[in-house]
Amino acid sequence: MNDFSDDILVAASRRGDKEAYALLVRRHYRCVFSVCLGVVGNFHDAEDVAQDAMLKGFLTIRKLRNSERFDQWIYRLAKNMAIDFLRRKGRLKLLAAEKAGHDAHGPVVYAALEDAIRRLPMEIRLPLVLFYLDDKSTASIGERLNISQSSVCKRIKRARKQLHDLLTERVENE
Amino acid sequence: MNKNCEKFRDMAADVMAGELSQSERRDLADHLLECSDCKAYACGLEEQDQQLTGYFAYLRSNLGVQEESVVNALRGCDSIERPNLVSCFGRFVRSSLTRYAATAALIVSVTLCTVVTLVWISHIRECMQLSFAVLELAAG
Repeated sequence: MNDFSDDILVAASRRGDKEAYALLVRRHYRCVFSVCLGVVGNFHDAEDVAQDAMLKGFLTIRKLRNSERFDQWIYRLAKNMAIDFLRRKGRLKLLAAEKAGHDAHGPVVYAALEDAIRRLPMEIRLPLVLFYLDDKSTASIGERLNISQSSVCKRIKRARKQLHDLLTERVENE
Repeated sequence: MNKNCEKFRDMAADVMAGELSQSERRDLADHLLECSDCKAYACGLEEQDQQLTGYFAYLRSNLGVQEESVVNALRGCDSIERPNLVSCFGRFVRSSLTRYAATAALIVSVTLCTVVTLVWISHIRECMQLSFAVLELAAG
């Protein structure tokens, strides 16, 4: 079943086959998590949103018209859910507490980096995360984000420069 | 830092994405030999790139656990949503085919109304002409 293409697995999932959908989860989870992390900027929230998006994908898979484009569909679903999550969170005003940096996930050596990534604007954080986490080429990131390859490169460059400034600023303050 | 330095710092940030040509790389290397500030900046970027690579590799190594928890949650899921009447109607209304059909129906009905009105007007005109002729005959 591992060799089956997405459209076959989607067809089986539509009939309620959970094992088929589990294979789709294993195949596309990284991309879904990358987009969630790129949008929300926080590991734990990204994990929650990505898991919800994957489950919602199963529950609403009948709405997918072109079963060959499952990757694009689940990517859009995850991105919309992550943006909704940010809106809800914005209303609850929890973002300020998060900015204080109490939510580091990785080892301590990465705490400063995690915090700096979280402080980047979403439009440059998302291509940066896709580039490093999902091992994507700038061309495929552009396709996914619906922007040109040169815009992707510019955004990644801006993200790197801002990260450098944020990290240098932090070292100077310490 | 002069304007040239800003340009070379931009180029240093481009190196990681493999965006620089051979000649640009050479120019950058020449500048870094001369300018210690830019060299420190480029080293900082390189170090940051290694940190990013390490950090995201660490995150990737944890994704397997997350995938399994999604799969477990999936097993506890009830069933997939069946299409109900409301959502079917909503999809029907939103579909492009429905929009084309509605536009065509509107055009056909406007054309029909126009034709009927024209026929009706010409019919009335004929009746009036006939009435006038009858009146003239009666008067004559």
